[in-house]
Amino acid sequence: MGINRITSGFLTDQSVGFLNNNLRTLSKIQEKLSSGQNINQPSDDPVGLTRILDLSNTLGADSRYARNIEAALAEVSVVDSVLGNMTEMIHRAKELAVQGANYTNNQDGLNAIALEIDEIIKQMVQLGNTNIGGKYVFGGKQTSAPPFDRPAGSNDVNYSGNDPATAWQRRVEISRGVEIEINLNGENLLGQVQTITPAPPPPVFSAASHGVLKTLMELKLDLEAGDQDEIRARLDELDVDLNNILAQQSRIGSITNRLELTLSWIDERKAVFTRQFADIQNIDMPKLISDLNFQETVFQTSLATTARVLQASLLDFLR
Amino acid sequence: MISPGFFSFFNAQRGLLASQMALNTVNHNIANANTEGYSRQRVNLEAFHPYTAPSSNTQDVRSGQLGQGVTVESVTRVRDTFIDGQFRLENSILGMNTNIRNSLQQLEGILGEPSNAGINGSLQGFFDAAQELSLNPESIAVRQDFLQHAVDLVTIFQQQGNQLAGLQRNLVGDPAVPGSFDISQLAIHVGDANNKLEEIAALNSEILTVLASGAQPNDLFDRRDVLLDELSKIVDISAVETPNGQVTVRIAGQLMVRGVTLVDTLEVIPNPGPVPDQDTQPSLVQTVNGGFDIINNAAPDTITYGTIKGIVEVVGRSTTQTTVRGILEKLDLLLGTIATEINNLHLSGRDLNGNVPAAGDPVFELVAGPGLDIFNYRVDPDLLNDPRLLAAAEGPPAPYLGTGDGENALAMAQLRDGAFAPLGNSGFVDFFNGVISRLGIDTRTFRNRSDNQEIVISSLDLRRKSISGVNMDEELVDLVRFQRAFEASSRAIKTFNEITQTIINMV
Repeated sequence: MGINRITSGFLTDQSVGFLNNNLRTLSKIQEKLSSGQNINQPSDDPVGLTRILDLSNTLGADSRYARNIEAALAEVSVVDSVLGNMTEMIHRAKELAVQGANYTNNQDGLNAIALEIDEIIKQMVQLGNTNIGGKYVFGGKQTSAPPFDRPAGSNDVNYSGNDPATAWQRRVEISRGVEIEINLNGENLLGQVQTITPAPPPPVFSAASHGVLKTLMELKLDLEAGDQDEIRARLDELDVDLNNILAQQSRIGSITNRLELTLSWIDERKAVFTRQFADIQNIDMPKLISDLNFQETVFQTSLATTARVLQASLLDFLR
Repeated sequence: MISPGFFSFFNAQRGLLASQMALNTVNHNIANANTEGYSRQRVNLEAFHPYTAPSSNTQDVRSGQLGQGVTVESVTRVRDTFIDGQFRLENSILGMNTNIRNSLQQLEGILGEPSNAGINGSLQGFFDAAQELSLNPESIAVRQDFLQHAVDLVTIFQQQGNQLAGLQRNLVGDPAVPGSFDISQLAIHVGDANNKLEEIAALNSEILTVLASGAQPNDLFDRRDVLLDELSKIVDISAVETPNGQVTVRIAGQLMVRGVTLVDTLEVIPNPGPVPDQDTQPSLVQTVNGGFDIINNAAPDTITYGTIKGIVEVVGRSTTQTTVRGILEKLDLLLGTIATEINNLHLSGRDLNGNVPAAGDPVFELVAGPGLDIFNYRVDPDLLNDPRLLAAAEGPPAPYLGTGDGENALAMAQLRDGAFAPLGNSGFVDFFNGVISRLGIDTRTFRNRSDNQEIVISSLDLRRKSISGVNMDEELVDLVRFQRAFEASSRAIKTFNEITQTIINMV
C-alpha cells in the first residue's frame, strides 16, 4: 500500500507509535532485569513456562525426598552406633564368661561377675529403649512407649513393641514411588525373657524367650549357681547372638548406603535440573544489558528524529 | 462587441470573494489539523456562467459570450467512504481482541504463576507436610503443621476463586449481587453504545436540515463518522448511507437508527435462564423495544465482534479457549478432587488413638452454602481442635500397630503422584499447570491478535489520513496561492478604477 500524501497527523501518529514501541521494548527489558526472570507471566513464554513448572515441580518433590532421606540418615546413623555399643557389650560379656569359667570354687568372684552381667543386661535394655527425636526406634510402629521393660527384682525382660510377624516396618519414601524400611525390630535384635511362674529354682524360661537377653540372663543365673559347664556353653550361644546383631548392623549399613546413594543421585539430578531451569528462567544479564543499551540508543535516536521531523515546516521558509 | 462599463469590477469582485472563501477554508483546515476524525475540505471553484452580450446580429451569440469570473461551486470534504467500512469492521475485531486480552492478562495476575506463593506453592507445601507426617505421625506439632497447610490450601483456592468471581462480576454482573449489572463493564459499554446511537440519530436530523438548505454539512458528517468509528469498536454494526445523506445503523440485523429516528437501543438484563446457562452468561444483551437477544442467535442475527462480544466470550465457558468461568470451574474441580481423595484416605485410616474417624469428620468438610463447592470447603474444626483425630495410621483390615504408624499419611503424600479420572487422568499439579500453560498460550495468542489488529487498524487509519488528513505544507502553499490570487484581484480592481478615472477626467 503506497502512501501518496503524508499529512502532519500521520507524522505525529507514526512518531508516537514508534516511540511507544521503543518504550514497550525498554519496559520489557526493565521488567526482566529487575525481576531477574525471563518469564514473569505465563504468556511471556508458554512453552518455556510448561518446562519450568515441570522442573520446579520435580525440584520441589526432590527437595522433599532429600529431607526425608536426611531424616532417615539421622536416625539410622544413631541406630548404627547403638548396635556398635551392643556388640561391645556382648564382647564384654564373653570376656566375663571366660573369666567365670576359670574361677573355680570362688563363688564370691562369680557373684561379682554375675552382678556385672546384670549391669550389661540393664544397659542392653536401655539401648533397646533408644529414643531418637521422640521416637522409640526399636518398637516397630509402637514409637511412643519404651518397647523393653524389666520389672524391678525380676529376671523377666518383656518386649511390648510390634511383633516381628506384623507389618512393623516404618517406611520412608526416598524417591517417587520408592519406599525404604528404615527401622529394626527390637525383638529380632535382642529377644526377650519370660520366666514360667511359679519358677522353680533355677528358673525355667518360657518358649517365647530367646535372643541375647535370654543368653545373658541364663549366664547370670549360671554364674550365681557356679555351674562351670553351663557357663562355658553360654560362650557359644553368645557368639550366635553376636552374629545376629552384626547381621542387623550390616542391614543398617546397607540402608545407609542406599540412602546416601539416592541422596547423591538427587543432588546430581538437582544440579542438572537447576541448570535447565536457569537456562530458561534466569536472565542472561550481559545480553540484556547490551540489549538495554542498544534500545536506549534506538529510543534516543527516534526521539531526536521525531523532534526534527515534526519541526520541519514550510512555515520556516515563508518569511 | 463591447462590454458594459462596470462589468470588470464585478468580475474582479467575484475573484476576491472566491479567494477569501478559499483562504477561510485553508484556515479551517489548519485549525482542525489535529481534530480527531476531521476530513480536510476543499473549495471547488467554477467559472461563473458567461454573459452573452446583446448584439444586432443574433447569429453572433455563441462567440460573443463573456467570462464573468469565478464562483464557489461547493465546499466538500475529501474522504474515501470505502475505507471507513473496512476500518469499522477491523475496529470491531480490535475491540473484541483487546478486551479478551485485557481480561486474560487479569487472569494471569490473579493466578500469579510462576511463583511460590500461588496454588502450585501451596500444593507443594501440603504434600510436603503429608510426607513429614508420614515420618513423624506421633508428633502433635507435625499434625498441626499438616492441618495448617490444609487450611492454607483451602484459603488460597478460595482467595483466587473470589477474585475470579469478582472479575466475572465486574465484567458481566452477578445475580447474587443486586445492582452489579448496572455497574458491570458490559452495562457501561452498552450504555456508551446507546448514547452514540442517540447522537447519530440527532446528527442525521441536523444533516437533513442543512442539506435541505442546499449547504454541505461537512463537519457534521465528520462528527457522525467519528461516532460510527467509536460505535464499531463496541459492537459490530452495519452502517448504510442513504442518498439523502442519512445513515441507517443495524446491530445484529436489528434496525437501531433509521434517518432521524432512534428506532431501538440496547439493554443489559439478568439472564432469566435456564438457557443459556446462567452461570456462564449471568446477563443478556437485548434490544429494548424489540426484546431481541443480540448474542445468542445464529448468524446473521448476532454480533460477532466488538467489546461487548469480547466481554461475553471471555466470561463464558469454552472448550477451545480460556475463560474466567472456565478457570473458576477448573479450580473448583481440582479442590474437589483433592478433598475427595484425602478424605477417602483419612476416613479409612486410624487416628492417633487407634480409632477409625467418624464419617462426619473428614479433613476437608463441605458445608452448605451458595455457589460452587470451592467457596464452601473448610478444614474440619474438630480436627483443628484435636489434631490427634487426623488419621495418619493404616486402617482396617490391617491391625493397629501403634502411634508410629504413618502408612496412611504416606498414602496421602503419594496422592501427589497419582492420576485421577475427574482431572482427565492427570495428577493435581499437572492438571493445574495445564490450566496455567493454556492460559499463557491463550493470552499470548490474543496479545498477538490484538497487536496485529492494531497494525491493521493503524495502516487503514494511515490510508484514511493520507486521503483526508491535513498537510500543513499543502495548506501553506494554498494560503500563499489564494493570497496571491486575492492580491491580483485587488490589483485588477485598482486598474479598472484607474481606467474609469481616466475616462471621467476626460469629461
